[in-house]
Amino acid sequence: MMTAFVHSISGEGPRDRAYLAVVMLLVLVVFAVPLLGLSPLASTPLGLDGYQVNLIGQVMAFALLALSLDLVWGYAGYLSLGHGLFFAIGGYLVGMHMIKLAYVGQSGVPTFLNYMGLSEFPFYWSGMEHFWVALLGALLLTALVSFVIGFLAFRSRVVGVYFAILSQAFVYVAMLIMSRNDTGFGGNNGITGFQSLFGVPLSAIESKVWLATASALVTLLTLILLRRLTRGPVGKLLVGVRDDEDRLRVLGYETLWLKIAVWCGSGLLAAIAGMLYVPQVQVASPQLLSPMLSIEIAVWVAIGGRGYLYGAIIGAILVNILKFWLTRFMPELWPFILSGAVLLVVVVLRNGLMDPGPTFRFLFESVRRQKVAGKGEGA
Amino acid sequence: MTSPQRQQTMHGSAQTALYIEDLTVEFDGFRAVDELTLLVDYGGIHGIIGPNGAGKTTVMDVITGVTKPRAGTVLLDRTHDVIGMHLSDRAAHGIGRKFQKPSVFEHLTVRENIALGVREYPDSLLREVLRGGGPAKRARVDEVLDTIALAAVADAEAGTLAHGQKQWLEIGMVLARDPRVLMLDEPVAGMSNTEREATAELLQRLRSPERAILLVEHDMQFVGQVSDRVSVMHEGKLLADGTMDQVTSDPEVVRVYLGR
Ligand SMILES: Nc1ncnc2c1ncn2[C@@H]1O[C@H](COP(=O)(O)OP(=O)(O)OP(=O)(O)O)[C@@H](O)[C@H]1O
Ligand SMILES: [Mg+2]
Repeated sequence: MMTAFVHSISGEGPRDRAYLAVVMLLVLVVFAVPLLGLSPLASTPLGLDGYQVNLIGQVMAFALLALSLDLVWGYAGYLSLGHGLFFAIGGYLVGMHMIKLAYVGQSGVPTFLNYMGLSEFPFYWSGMEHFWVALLGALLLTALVSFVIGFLAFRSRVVGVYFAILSQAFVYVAMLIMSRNDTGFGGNNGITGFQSLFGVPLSAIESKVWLATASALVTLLTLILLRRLTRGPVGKLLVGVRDDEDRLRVLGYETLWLKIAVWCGSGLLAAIAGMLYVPQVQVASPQLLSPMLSIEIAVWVAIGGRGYLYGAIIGAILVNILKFWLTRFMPELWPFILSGAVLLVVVVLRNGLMDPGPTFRFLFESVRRQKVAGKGEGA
Repeated sequence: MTSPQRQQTMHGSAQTALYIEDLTVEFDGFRAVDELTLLVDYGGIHGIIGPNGAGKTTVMDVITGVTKPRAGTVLLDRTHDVIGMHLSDRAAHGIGRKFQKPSVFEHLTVRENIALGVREYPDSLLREVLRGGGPAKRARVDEVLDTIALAAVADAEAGTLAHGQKQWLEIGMVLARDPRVLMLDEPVAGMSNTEREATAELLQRLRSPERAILLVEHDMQFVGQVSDRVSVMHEGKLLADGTMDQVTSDPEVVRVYLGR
């Protein structure tokens, strides 16, 4: 991590500084959450309570989800309004793991299976008490599903708004299927009643702290990894796909496999985000598959700014903190604020907060000029 | 300014690079290219002129694989069936093309644009991504930068270039792979006189006995200046074929151009 860190300092510019600032922020979260969330500091005025730790953890999982979308949208130029599908695959499988774990050494099944007339776990639950089985299952299933969607869409050269609609259709169908009680995953209520993960009870503050820390750490590592990927040859090719795919194809590049690979990679990251998210909210329900959530992911990225990676993280953090705060104090206002923010981004800003465009440029420029003059640096 | 290559082409001893026979392209029943037969030789510059909508760009689209023809044959070296080839195979066989609308990657630097044109591992994208980018690639990029005279702006974002420079950059991207068939769709459109001169000189430098250059251009003076042979297209058909002087004195050609 250190070499990647130093590596990224070498190029100086406002973009590099913004990247570095976000990396620092994530590093700070990784260290601050266990330090301030556990005793002895937890009980001091500086300390974080369970609610705050949990909030940070959820926001970090969303930041990872936003990163995964920025890879396909910001770089390859394909807007997915169905990333909730991969998020949910990760979420449901880690949920199954935790349920199965709770029934180890006990007879009987959860009520939602009882309802189906089952007295034993069906075959696809076997081995789920092992975390690695759930992890592997989530990754393989996500890879398979994303491959099928990617292959169908990219081979038929579905682009632009049609791709967005297609991806939304998949997540919608999945929601309808998972909402049915007879699908075997608890219908509308989803699966819940988790007790512990890695031997730590979910009710304990320790599990909240470690889940939040893990979410921040995975987001940090993913940011560094994707930064390297997108600045290297793969990144150049993705920008090529986004800006002029025919030009790239006529240069002899088989863009189909490139797009499928990036799409699947993005899906896998979203699944991992789901695996981090569900133990923190302690339920995996069709809510994860709601078209609204998938659209919101795109809103976070749009507000932060597409194609910078750190922009997606900033967007996810800002929007979700605002959402947590508002839905606690004035929930009825949230839809209006969200729509307003979207309008602002679409109408006024060119590409989110990271690239506000000519209207706001002069503001930033004058601030920067003052700073530079103060330091006495050259341009 | 008669070059040796020019002599060779004029006497018909050159080899055929592209053999196009009875090529027909239809868009919803409209024939954009209508039973076109055309031979393009190695060693020279072959100009194609014709009014708007004559089908010039469509012919290039078929050769590069962007458009599928309804009927006809396109052979490379009289042996390889181009139409049956995958897009990436066409590029690997040395078919390169500059688009009519300048198509460079605006968010990448000039150097990065050209690097995309170089392939160290033509048969594997994975190996190209993992291992490509060595000194050989960098040397090739520098070579191309010199050829297209953009070395001074090598690290600028392509989007910041002037229109003429973008045209040269796109030629550079295509050139990076040392194409055997180089197709240029309106390379001097929107250029100043000085830029046109520079482009004419560039084209002369790109002549090679191992390369066929197909040039589509509306600027008749430019075509006349650089081409060895000129074909005139009209409504998807070949109207006339020969030297610039021959085709411009053809009564059919005169009628089409004046009757517009
Ligand atoms: N994808 C397409 N769909 C429908 N019609 C098309 C398509 N591409 C080209 N055409 C039509 O085919 C005809 C030939 O077009 P083409 O672009 O080949 O002409 P051109 O000779 O290159 O003209 P110009 O000098 O204006 O570039 C035109 O009438 C055009 O409208
Ligand atoms: Mg044209």
